[in-house]
Amino acid sequence: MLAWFDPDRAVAAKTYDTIRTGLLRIFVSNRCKDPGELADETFERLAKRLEGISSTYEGDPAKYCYGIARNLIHEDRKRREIPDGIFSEPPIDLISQDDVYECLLECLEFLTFDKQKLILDYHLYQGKARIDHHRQMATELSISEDDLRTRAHHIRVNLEKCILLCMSTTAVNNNRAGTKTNY
Amino acid sequence: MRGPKPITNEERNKVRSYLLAQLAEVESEQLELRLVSDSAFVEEFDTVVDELIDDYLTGELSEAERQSAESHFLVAEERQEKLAVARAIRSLVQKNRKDRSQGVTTNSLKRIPVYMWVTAVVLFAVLGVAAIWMITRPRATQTVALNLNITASDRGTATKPERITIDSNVGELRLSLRLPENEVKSSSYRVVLVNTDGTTRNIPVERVNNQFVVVNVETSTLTSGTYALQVSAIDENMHERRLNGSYLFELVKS
Repeated sequence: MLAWFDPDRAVAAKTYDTIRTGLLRIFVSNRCKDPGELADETFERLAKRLEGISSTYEGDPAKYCYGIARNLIHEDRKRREIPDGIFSEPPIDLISQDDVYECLLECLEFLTFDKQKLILDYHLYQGKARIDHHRQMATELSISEDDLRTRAHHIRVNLEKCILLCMSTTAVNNNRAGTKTNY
Repeated sequence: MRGPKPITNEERNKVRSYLLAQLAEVESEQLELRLVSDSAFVEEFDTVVDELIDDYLTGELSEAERQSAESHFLVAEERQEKLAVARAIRSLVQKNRKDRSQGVTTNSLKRIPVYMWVTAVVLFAVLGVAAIWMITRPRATQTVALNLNITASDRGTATKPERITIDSNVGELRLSLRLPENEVKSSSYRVVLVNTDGTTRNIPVERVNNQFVVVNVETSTLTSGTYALQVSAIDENMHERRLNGSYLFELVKS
């Protein structure tokens, strides 16, 4: 499959990674039940069809994968009996906000002081004040507002990963202690 | 390190519409196709997700957008997790702000690792030496204190601003901004200094009481001219409300 993406292995691996990352966003945005599983299923279906299409298909491999993904989205909706365009109610209280808060405090410790300051300052204001404040922060850091947004995003992504890990540890510990968790 | 190539505002708006299920099918498919073929676009896409979550939390979405967010955008477990993290960050920021205004050490500061405290102690020692040098060196740094009242007009209009004449010995202005009597008091305020050239910057609030918001401004950052200070009250939900009018002063450096 990688060879079909690109003869250069490194480029092919990068293409695979790009497609998979994009597929996850698409499945999440279409409210699919298990985005990771569906991304795997996309590549499995591609692998099965590859023999038949590799010599004839001339387009972008990403486009072909996307076609498979669209089919999977329709199948997923049918399976869950959710018609296109009709939305279900959001899940409520799946996550304990207190646990997230405690984990946030722990995860902030892993950040450098500058990153702690940036992420907390970034979320200081709202509305017009937020726009002005971000502009001022960008000026003080001598970077563009786009770069500031990207920096804040990277810190937030790392915090999210750390918090999820922390939450799963908390859940395991709580289960060991025999207490009820929200997970 | 440079970030990815930013997308245009129009593209950001399209991503936003897509996330809220408000983008036409053809455009949605174009956008999804780009997601599987452009890794830089994925990163920009993710920043729009963050922004939309923030806007949802701070109540900045229209009613229709809020409904779409709840019935579509926030349904996936991944987004619920992101929402919970964003909510926790906001809570912490709000708590820090409240604590700071009450002079309480924040929880996050208590949790700063030991090596950072060691660094801080060393830094304080260095700063201490520097401070002694600053105090003992032959240079006068006086502070001029002044009470200012709010005026209905902004800088440059008919109201005569308070004149402050200072010489080179004055290093700092301590400005006590008297709050209007009929103003509903808040525990937190934001002060913006409008410079002579019309540019603005935030000035840290030193102290707040029932009557005044006190700020210090270094005179080295000011030139002779007329300045305006704009004050906004911030309530416990972090909503900002600008006080009508400005605090004007004219600085004369002799």
